[in-house]
Amino acid sequence: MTDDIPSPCDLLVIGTGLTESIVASAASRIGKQVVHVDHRDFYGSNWATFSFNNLHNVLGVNKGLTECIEETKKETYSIHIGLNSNTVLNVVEKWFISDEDVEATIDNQLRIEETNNGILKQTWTKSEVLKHSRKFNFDLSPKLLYSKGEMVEVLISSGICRYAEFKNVSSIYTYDNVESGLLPVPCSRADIFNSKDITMIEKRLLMKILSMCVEYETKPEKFQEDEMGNFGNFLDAHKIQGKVRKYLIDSVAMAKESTNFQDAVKNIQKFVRSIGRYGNTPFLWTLYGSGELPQCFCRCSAVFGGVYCLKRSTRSIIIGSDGQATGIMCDNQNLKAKFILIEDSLNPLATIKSGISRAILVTNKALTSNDQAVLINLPSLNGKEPVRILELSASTMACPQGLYVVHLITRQVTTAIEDLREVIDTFFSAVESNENEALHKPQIIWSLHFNINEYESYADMLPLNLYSSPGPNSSMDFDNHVIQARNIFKSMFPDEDFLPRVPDPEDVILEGSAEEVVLQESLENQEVHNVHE
Amino acid sequence: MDPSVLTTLKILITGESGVGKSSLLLRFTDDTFDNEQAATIGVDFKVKLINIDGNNVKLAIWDTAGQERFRTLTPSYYRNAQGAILVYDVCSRQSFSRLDAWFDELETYATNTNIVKMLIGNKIDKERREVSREEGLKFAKKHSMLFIEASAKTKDGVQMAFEELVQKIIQTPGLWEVDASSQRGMSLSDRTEGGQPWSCSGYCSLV
Amino acid sequence: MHGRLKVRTTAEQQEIKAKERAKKLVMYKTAMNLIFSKRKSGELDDEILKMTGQVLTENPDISTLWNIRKETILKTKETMPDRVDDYVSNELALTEQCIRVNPKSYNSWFHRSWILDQVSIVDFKNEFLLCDKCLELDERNFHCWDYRRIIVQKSKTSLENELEFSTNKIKKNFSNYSSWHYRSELLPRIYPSSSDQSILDDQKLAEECNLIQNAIFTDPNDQSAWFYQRWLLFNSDEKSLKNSSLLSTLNNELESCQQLHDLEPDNKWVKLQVCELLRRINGLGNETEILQLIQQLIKVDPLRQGYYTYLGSKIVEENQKKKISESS
Repeated sequence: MTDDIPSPCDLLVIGTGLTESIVASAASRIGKQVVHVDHRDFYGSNWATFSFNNLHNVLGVNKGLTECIEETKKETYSIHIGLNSNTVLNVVEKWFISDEDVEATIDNQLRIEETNNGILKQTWTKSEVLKHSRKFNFDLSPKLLYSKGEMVEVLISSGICRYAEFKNVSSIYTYDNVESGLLPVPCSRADIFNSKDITMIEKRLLMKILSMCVEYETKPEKFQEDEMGNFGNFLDAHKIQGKVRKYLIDSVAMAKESTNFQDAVKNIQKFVRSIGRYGNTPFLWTLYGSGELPQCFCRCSAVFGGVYCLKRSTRSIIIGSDGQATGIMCDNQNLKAKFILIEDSLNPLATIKSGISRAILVTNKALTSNDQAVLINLPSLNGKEPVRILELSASTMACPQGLYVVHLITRQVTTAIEDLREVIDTFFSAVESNENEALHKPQIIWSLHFNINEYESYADMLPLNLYSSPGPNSSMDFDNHVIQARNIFKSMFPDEDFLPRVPDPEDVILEGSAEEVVLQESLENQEVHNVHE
Repeated sequence: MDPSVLTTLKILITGESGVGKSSLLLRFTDDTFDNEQAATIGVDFKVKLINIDGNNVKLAIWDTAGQERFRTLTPSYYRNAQGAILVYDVCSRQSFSRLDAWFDELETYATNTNIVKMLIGNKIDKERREVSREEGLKFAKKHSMLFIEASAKTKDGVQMAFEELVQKIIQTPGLWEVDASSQRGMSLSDRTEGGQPWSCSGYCSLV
Repeated sequence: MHGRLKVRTTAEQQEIKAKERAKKLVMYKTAMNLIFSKRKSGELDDEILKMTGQVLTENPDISTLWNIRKETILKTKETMPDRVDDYVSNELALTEQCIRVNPKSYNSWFHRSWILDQVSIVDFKNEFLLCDKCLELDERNFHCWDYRRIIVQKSKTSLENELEFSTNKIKKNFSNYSSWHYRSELLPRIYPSSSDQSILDDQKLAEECNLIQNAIFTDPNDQSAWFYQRWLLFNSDEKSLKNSSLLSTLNNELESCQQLHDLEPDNKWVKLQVCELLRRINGLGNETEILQLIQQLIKVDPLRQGYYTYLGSKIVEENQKKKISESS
């Protein structure tokens, strides 16, 4: 039963990350035989979402793996697949609460105490948190969907959206260093109208810049001078200062002063167009975590015949005498394939480009009122990289009621601990104390720091039928990966549709079933489309 | 939505490869059976309307899409299901002994804590039975599951299995009511596009 | 072939739909015939309610059927007064369903408000909820706004409550003329002016001016905001402006409108409002400036050239009259 992996197949995919999974589903969807393998025992590779226990297992596994020895054959040579790559590194886990509070944990229920001022306060112990292990969903690479972005569009047009559910990001904040506080970013036209933070003139300027950017393509003559410079120059030219400048740079354009004008405008357009489709901010968060999305595409691939094998050690890629990849060694089986797609982090020919510094915190209080998900864009200070904070409440299925999961994301400069120390100290408290500070700041219950490597591969170094796909990057959304997946698919199958809509289950019928017989009477000459042979 | 339909229920089927999961499904939804039924391709889930105690209920019954072959079902397959059917082949001891693993996976990933579970011993039409009815019943009792023996080939027990499962779901408070589902997230589709069109609540007005 | 999967083609889907349509048509014809023959013979009973209900859910705009229902309800009121409540709740459910099918069905809304008159106790909470839902779907649904006015009256809901409702609607989307209009009906009743110069109490007027300025600055192309501002400012007798608080309000508004004009030099709405403000404040003294603005308006909005020319000549005429009355 376990050894009948089809070989040869049309496409062999190594790694179940997002880009790989999208390509796998697109190929299966047009009837290609796809084999999708992963040496890990979970879906999603560096995009995965874990419970507490799984996270521990995975991080444990990631440490002490030895590399396999490559095999060579007479007429072919093979490239060693760098599996078990240490993509996730500098892992530091820390608990900020005691292991066990002996007194009151008879049945391990969380205790609710009445504090002096009458506010209900929950106290957690380590064992209580671990007991709820499965209620936690920690993302390695948390990402948002623009409501009118590439990911949402492909999910809808393909019908794959049926496998996932979403929550709207309820508000976006930036940080005001003058007043040292969080500043809500007005997202919609209604937000701008209602805002008490900016003057009427500022409202006009903000609206004007947004409208201009949305019309960029239709009125190019307005922008001739701006196109040369960076986003900061553009804002200078329109005398945009103060809070409005902050909103535009940190949150709307998700950029820096130095970002080139065109890139910033593209982001602004996406932001503005995404507002109002599903809610008041442009972003959606995937219920149960971003790791759901690769699984959705894998499910679609499987429905259309894709064969899925996890826990398969993939040892080497076999290159034929003509320089083309012919297949891989998977356990002791030689799997042949017309095309091979491998994730960058497993590809021995890919190099480390840069890295992401990450922290995941579990806290006992929201930074600001938050019953769904909140995004905080911190500006780059003193030449440092901007940091993004995503705070998830229990309603996103990230954690049990009463707790919050906080993701911090920035470009790696040194290590995750160093890169994020200042931000964490500003917003969170490591100890529970009676000082005033503790009343305002959320207390950290548990923290995890790590770095993820970003890889880069050069297509001209690979055999023509071997593709390498990018892992998660530091951007907050999925759209680049969707575009790259589409490009890879188009390059393999240039004349085929990319993820056409899956049929409605109501419209899938079995030939020979009672219902179908009736239909056939009146439709004898209709063309019948077989989903498989 | 059709107002006469009380609710839509998500039911999923798991168990070893080759125990007849898809055959049970197709017998129930389409009343067909094929001895040579190959691995399930193209079936995502099947929809069937049934009437239970005077209520019209729409069932969305999800198939494994073959992902169980290498025991690699996606955790997301289990999300938000109200009912789960575990299937074994009464003529395959091995399929019965693997039930523990399938049950564990179900318990791990099912998000409704009170999901209704049913055990089906399939292929009772075949000779050379390896698992007795008592053994099946014992497993079901141990894990508080409904139990039935059935044959997708002869139709025995199939209709009854699904009906009993749905009946139990409807009787379970908090499992299927609208309130319970509104706690969840939103689905994306062209139709559920909420709020106002961009021209109203977006930035720019139509002049 | 047996046991193979296939997907229904578009033709097959259309075939299924066409069959359903044909079936519906036959059912509709039979039902209509039966309804009319029953009515002829005076059988205004449960069956006729059932039949008309079925047809109306599909097509809520057949007034004759609603009238038959009215006759039937009235007859029930006479013959079985103790069962009226059941019949009424039945009508409420039916109209709600019809409104869901077509939120702009005149007949359904009319029938519903007629029904409210047939009972002594109405659950108004439910009625407001229905309005909220419908306005959520389409905030410009005037049927629903009208119905809301009816139930506000019937339920004796406080005007303050309705003002808050309008504020919330505007906060959600200020480009909604219906909400602003509703507001303009309520405000003078809650905050009447102490003088005959302005339309509102001074403090409230200042608050409303600020609110509408925010809307205008956020989107100076939004017509409903300009209309509301006009209503606020230009609703009084023009002769008695001297030293009034309204005059200082107008001056404030002029100042901010001119600021906006600097930012949006090509916006016709701002130009027009500056014109009107200058005219009210001191038409005679500002004549040159006003006429300049009118020339600019003709340039930026040539489609309405005729209107602007007329406006200019009217202002000149006004000023002539003023000159004459001042000199005499």
